[in-house]
Amino acid sequence: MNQNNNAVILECGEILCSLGNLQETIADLFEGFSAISQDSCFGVPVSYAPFKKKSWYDLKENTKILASSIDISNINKEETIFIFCAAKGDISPIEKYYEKKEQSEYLPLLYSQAEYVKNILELENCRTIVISNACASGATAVEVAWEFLSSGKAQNIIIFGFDAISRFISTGFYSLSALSQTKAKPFDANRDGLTLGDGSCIALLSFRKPYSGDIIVAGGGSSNDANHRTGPSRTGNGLFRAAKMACENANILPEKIGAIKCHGTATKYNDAMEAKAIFSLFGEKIPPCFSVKGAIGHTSGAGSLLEILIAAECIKRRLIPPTVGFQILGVEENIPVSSSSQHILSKTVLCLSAGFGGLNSAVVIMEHS
Amino acid sequence: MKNKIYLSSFSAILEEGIYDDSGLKNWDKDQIGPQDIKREQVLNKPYLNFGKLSLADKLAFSAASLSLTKSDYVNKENMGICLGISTGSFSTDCRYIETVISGFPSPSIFSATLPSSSITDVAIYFGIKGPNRVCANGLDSGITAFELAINLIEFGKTDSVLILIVNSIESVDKNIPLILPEIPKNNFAFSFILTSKKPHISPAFAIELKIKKTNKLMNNDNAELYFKEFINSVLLKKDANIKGVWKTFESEIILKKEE
Repeated sequence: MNQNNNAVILECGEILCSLGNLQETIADLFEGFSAISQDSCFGVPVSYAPFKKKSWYDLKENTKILASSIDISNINKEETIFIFCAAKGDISPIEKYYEKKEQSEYLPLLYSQAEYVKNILELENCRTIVISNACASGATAVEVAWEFLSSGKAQNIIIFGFDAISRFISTGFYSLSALSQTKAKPFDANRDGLTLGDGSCIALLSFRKPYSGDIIVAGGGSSNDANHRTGPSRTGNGLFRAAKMACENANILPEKIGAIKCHGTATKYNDAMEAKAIFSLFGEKIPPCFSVKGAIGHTSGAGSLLEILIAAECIKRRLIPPTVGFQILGVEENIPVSSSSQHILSKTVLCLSAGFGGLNSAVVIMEHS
Repeated sequence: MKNKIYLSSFSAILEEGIYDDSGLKNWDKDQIGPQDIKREQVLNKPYLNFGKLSLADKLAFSAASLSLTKSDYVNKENMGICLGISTGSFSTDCRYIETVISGFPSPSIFSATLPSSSITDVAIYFGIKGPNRVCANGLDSGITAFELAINLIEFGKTDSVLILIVNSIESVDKNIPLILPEIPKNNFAFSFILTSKKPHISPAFAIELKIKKTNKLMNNDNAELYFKEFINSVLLKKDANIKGVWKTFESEIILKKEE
């Protein structure tokens, strides 16, 4: 919050993923359901969490549904920035071209997809920024939005995230031996890799005086591991620095955090790294931790925004969901991973994300009271 | 009042040659342009991965290496990186999908199929651990990366940022006729290091960036010429107001000399 008591407000948001929209996803998460199927993912024999409805894979259809969830009729579009966030977005046009010489309505390039979505949203004159910080894209987009809004460089920011799985993605992760054959089991002793999932989401952020019940983006931080192209740092120091920066930027002490929305991919090294980062920041007093990737899969660059929207909904309910797939703690640090839904004492959640190439991002969100 | 932001060093890899603070060095006779850049032109010790990098990654690494060598800023643990890359990882994407169709998907190529790939090797090799921003906006990616870098310094998230601006088109892209009519077909890279501390060079240049929203859609300026004007002003040691027009906004970089 600044001197005028204004803050960056998460006005509204909607998601589409394997469990459905936001409310359907929340309901199923608290029931401990998983949408992960265990047959194949674009010809690769691994688990997968596809969009709940096939039509959602279509970027136009998907955008129309998400657009209907936010009211932008009253915002000043001249002072609005549109941020498109994705790791690869929809890369299937490149497959179509190479295999069938077919062209799509948009190019296999993020900015082309951003313009396509922006036109459907009728935001043609808005400035576009495409953020592609690997799997931390969504959280980084929220951080970027916070900076633009807090400095008065924009009045509103609309963030749109879309990452759909295709043969390009599934074969790539399979070639890296990163995928689970069964399903993602975050932080579990028997975890054997991540499950890919489709995801898209939209959020409207603005800068104004907050009212009771508003969700505030209090601050964010990011860092680079400077360690490895695909693997995370073994020490967790990069994610720790991002989380520490987020708390400092939000002017919040770690002990005021009520829960941690973990990146929790369920790969051996990510979860071990993340546990170390969390322990480094909180010591022995770690708040409850949860990951949603055992239920909806890893929705890539869009996922870190999608999961922030889920975390915002958890704050409103004062509850965090069980970490689907988690049974026995399989990391060295004794972090309290949720195995059932549980109440949170503080209405502040730290959201962690980590991407390929060691790109980390952390965002602190809280309910204003 | 905002703290001042300074230019610590810069480099550019363009069709005519390589620029740094000592001016332009033309390409050798056996080199056509940026696509032929050699490791020994940008780094004075062996780096085995250099030859394996995609062109975009190689240009980003080279531009970063040149400006990091010249900068007197030493705390790389805190330095941020902001990358503006017009076409993302398109060439590598083309290369990867060819391996998928051949039946042997390549994990090493796949690991570079992200726009953020171009900062990974820079961060690892030089130990740069601060905040990162990757913009793949098309033609205004560079100026956006510049703006995000200034935001990072203004909010105190770091006291220095390495800005990398890359445009690369490889022969593999030519397999795809649908590529980007408006993206320039020449390869180039710029690198700027901005800091909140006045560097020990004379003259030092303080930098300010103004962004103004336009009310109508405009044609994009040429990003290469825009940033070339920037480095020419620095080389000539003169104040400058460098104005650019992008699709939905106008930019003005104000360079002010301080002895």
